[in-house]
Amino acid sequence: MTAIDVERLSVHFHARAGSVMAVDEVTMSVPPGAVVGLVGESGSGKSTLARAIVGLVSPTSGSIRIDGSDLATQSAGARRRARLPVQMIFQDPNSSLNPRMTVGAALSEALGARERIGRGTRDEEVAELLDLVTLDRRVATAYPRELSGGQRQRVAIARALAVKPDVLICDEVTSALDASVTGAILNLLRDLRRELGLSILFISHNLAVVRYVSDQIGVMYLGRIVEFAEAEALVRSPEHPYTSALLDAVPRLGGVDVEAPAELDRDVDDLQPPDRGCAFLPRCSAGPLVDPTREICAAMDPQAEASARRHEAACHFAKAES
Amino acid sequence: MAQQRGLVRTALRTPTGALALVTVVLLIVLAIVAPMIWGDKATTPNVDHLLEGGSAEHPLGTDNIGRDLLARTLVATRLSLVLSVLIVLVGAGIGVPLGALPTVLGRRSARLTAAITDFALAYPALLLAIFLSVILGAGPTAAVLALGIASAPAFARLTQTLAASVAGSDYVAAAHVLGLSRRRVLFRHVLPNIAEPIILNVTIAIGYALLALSGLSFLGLGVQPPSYDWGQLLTASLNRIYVAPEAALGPCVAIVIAGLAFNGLGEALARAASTRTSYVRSPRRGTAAFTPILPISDDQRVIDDPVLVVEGLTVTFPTGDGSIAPVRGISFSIGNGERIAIVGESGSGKSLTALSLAQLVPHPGTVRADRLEFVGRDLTDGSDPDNVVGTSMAMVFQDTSTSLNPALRIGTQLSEVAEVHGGLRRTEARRRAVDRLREVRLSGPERRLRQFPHELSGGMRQRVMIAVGLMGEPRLIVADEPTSALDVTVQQQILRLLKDIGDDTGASCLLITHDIAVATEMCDRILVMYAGRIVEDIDASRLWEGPTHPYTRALLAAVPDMDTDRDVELASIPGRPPDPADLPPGCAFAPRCAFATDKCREDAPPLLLDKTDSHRVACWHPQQGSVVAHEDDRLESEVG
Repeated sequence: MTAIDVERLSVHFHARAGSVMAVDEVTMSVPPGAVVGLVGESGSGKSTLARAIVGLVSPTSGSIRIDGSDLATQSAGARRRARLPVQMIFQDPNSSLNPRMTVGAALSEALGARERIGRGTRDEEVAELLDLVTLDRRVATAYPRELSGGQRQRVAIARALAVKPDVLICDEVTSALDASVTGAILNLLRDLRRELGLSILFISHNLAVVRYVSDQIGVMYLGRIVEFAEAEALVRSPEHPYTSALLDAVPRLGGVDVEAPAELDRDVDDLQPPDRGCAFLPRCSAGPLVDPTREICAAMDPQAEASARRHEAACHFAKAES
Repeated sequence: MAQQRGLVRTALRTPTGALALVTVVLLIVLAIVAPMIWGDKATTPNVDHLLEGGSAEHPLGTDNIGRDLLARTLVATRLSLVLSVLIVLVGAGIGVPLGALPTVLGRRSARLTAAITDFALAYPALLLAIFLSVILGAGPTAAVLALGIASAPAFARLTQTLAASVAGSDYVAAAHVLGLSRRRVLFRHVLPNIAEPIILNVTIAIGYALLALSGLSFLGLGVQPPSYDWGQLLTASLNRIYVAPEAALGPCVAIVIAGLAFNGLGEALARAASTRTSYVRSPRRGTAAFTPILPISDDQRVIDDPVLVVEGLTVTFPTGDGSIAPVRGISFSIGNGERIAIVGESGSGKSLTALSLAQLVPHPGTVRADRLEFVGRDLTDGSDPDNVVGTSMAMVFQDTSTSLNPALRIGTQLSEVAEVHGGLRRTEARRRAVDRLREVRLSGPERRLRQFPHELSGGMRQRVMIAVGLMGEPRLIVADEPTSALDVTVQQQILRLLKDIGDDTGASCLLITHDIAVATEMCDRILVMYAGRIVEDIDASRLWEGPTHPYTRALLAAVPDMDTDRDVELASIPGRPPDPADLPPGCAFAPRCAFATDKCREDAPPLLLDKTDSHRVACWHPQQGSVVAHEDDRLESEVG
């Protein structure tokens, strides 16, 4: 049994110029108690995938199973209950807390979402939630504007924990925070996972942060997961050229490696994916751009064969790369 | 409620606001007491004084059965105000729920309600009111209903727009994820956050309702005799406006004053609300904590031919009762071709430092420096007669969507620089623009000239910004978080581009960033800022061996990099950065520092060279050794 199972999930948005495939037939799962990381650049669909799982956007096709039960087959009310064990933490704690509600009010409201509880026990439970995220109990009477960014993000985490979830979806939770607070929030998430046995889907564009917290990592590119593997394996021996490119781009302390591989020194923003074949082809350092004999990249989408391998990489020449 | 009271107090501080509020209160008092005092006088006919002009006894004259017009005008205040308020209540009562409905309804019904509002809004409100009151018949009830219904679409649209912006926020998303009912989301999360602007608009609407009602009554569609409001009084007096103008003047003045008062009050409240929101964001007001800066931060490095020399740079902003200094006497210099990074967290003063170099500090900030020299010119007093900043300094900002003018083509924005600063002719400027776009490695430069900023991606816009900077002949490129809004792969390209341009043109570079790793990737020297001061100045290559300031060390250990041990806890710095209005007397980092002693809490440490001649640090207890994560066991997790 897995905490979250996503199968061939697609999300299309309708724009004036036609429909945009934000998420394109993604299949993935989060095992219980595991932290699965998702990395990708803006527009890769990682946040849309998260929002589809918690029901903030409607999937176009495919299925989402939470704790084994398929959401699509359920009534709206049952679906809402089924989704309750999956909670989400957002990027910017400035906008994810209602400015007109005290911390205590926001947490009691979240507590009430699970079950009706009396006023007396409610205050006690609010205090316990604040303990859980190592905030002073007096914070309950404060409004969000009186708190620092790190404290606000802790409140947002406490709110998500109020319904005793099994899965937390963290969408860029450290991106809006200052460096000195990042460590504290990541430590807290790791502790909570250990103490509460949470599963976490951790989404970030920052590969170093994702590597630090995740057991497994999926790399998304243009709405698809192009590589999925154990965290250390993916970082040490990436098989997909895009993953390698991402790894090379991570700024490293010491600044030794400024000369990144040449394939990325192109107007990446300007390149449209081809209609068929591999979507990464216009930017790829392994495909026909470097080796003209590799025509298969232009002819065939490598996605299909990827799931057959344990270290999944949607690339025809994945083995050759490693 | 406390917030609402604060709002009224802020509104009262402006003369218009105070005047409007006083007038409104007077009008309300008048509405209550006038019928009791002048009620009899206003209704008693007097056949001896029919249709008289102004006199001592009847200042505004009398009407056709000899009733005193001044008394009637005063007494009419009640009916006019009550009806106006009722109109607004009817309008808001219909409009606000109609506008809020889409938040609660499903997608299809939401679209339908929105379409109905749009359709109703397309019809002119006053015309609709006249049309409705003709159908509903003359009389005050009909007038109130007609005007109320006619004003409902405007309220609906306002509510709809406000609700839509709140409904898109993350806290509403979080409420949905918690499975809260739509009704609860509406009442707890959406309505409280849009109540303020709606209340303000209701206040303003009372003024308009008064005007509209008087208009209807004047047309004979509103209040009917023997009842009378200002509009009705106006009708009765208008036919003798040439004989006795003062008779018509009374209700006219009353309408104008009341209309102005309600509009003024609404405007003042709205202005108070908008300044109050910005108040929350600005630093807390306090006593001026800014004390003269110790003569401590001289840059003892000797640089031949420096591009920039900064000594004792201070930026201050006035606050309610004093001033704050987000940048407090920093000194550094940049050599020819040197690349320097200023690293710091939000509020450290790093961006203001960059802006002060380019003389772009926003009003009402003031920049002072003991010495500020750029390419050998003295800019200390803020003047720049030779415009060296314009020609020799290039600025690159973080937000590529706002730093280019969206209405101008790329080509125009590029060649403008060369035409204004370089005195080039248009064709020459264009040729140079193509050249510079090629230099920043943008594909198809000729084609790009004809494009607008929105047709380019963020990375490409940032390249254009750099090209704009290169149109002159920059000696210094100041880049303020140039890659923070970009993807990692694009970030890499922009950093390399900046580095290559430095190598090719010999320009120096000042990079402002929150990311130490980014700083070490492209710069030779790193300045770490905390609470408006440079706390450490270190060679980028030595950062790896270990900086000595506890803040720099904690900062490095708090963010994981690709080699961080996954089993080790990250460091975290307890507490939060100090409030610039309330700085501790000694070292600003002391309250959060594990190594702080009494000396640290009393005396601010100067930024001094250590044994090596390229490393400055401002700390009484510099730490040694490389930064490893477990060393920070002493730094407990951030609490409160």
